[in-house]
Amino acid sequence: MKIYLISYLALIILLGLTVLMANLHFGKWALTICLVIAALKAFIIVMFFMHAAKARNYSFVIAGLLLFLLAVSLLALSDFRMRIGNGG
Amino acid sequence: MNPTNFENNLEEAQTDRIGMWVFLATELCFLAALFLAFFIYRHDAHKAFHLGSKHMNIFAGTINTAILLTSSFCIAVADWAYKTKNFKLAFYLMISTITLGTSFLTIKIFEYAQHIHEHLLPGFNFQYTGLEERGVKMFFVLYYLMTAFHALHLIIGLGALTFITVKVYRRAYKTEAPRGIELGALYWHFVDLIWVFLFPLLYLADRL
Repeated sequence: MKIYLISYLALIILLGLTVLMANLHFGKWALTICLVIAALKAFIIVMFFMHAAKARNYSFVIAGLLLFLLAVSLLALSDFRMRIGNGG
Repeated sequence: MNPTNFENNLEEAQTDRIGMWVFLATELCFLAALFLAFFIYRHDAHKAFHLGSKHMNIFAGTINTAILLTSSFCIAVADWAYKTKNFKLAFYLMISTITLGTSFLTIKIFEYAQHIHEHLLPGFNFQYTGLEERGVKMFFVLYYLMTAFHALHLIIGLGALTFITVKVYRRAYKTEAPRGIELGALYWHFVDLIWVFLFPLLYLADRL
């Protein structure tokens, strides 16, 4: 119960931080900072609300999914960059 | 003779959880494609996405994010409450989760209505004057696609949670592993998770 409350408070603080960012100007870093905060929120939700921290028996499913998504996204992005390099 | 392949309810619950994670994994793959499309189009039409993002209502988006985070907290505690035999609290928290989910949808509908009023629905009298018209249109295509996909999941989630709440009221789950609540909560947290990324991408990133 206590872990849920701490997680919730952390999520609300991170939400406040995200909105605060809207009033500051970070130029090209803005998207990166926003996504880092979102990733932090996602980490809290997955680990504590979704109990991934306790999912020892099937953590391979979660880890495998993340690695698969990372690999596919990197392949797609590298393909996109190559197309830009070749003029579309 | 045991009619299932499982030794006990806990083992069955564990298998359910793995099944749900695999299902969520397939959902995430579909979503990843949408996010990737967003990043690629944003790269191509950065200025247009910046202009499109200016039409987003940050206040509504922030309230909706807080609503979903609170609903996630409610359902997580509901699961804990049921397991600790606090059935009344579990029931009220399930009702709160459904109410918060419905509030999210209501605010989103008002947002959509505002965009339609401003002629920002591609394919239906879309009006945007300026050099970046095509890019802004693409921003809104992706905006509607991603948020509608999220809303569809939310509606499915609300239906499932209503069914689960009735079972919670009847105390139909076993307290050591209330499988329905656990699976419903996993799905609901996933819906929350999608929004956690949609909010900064659509509402904030290009305004900074």
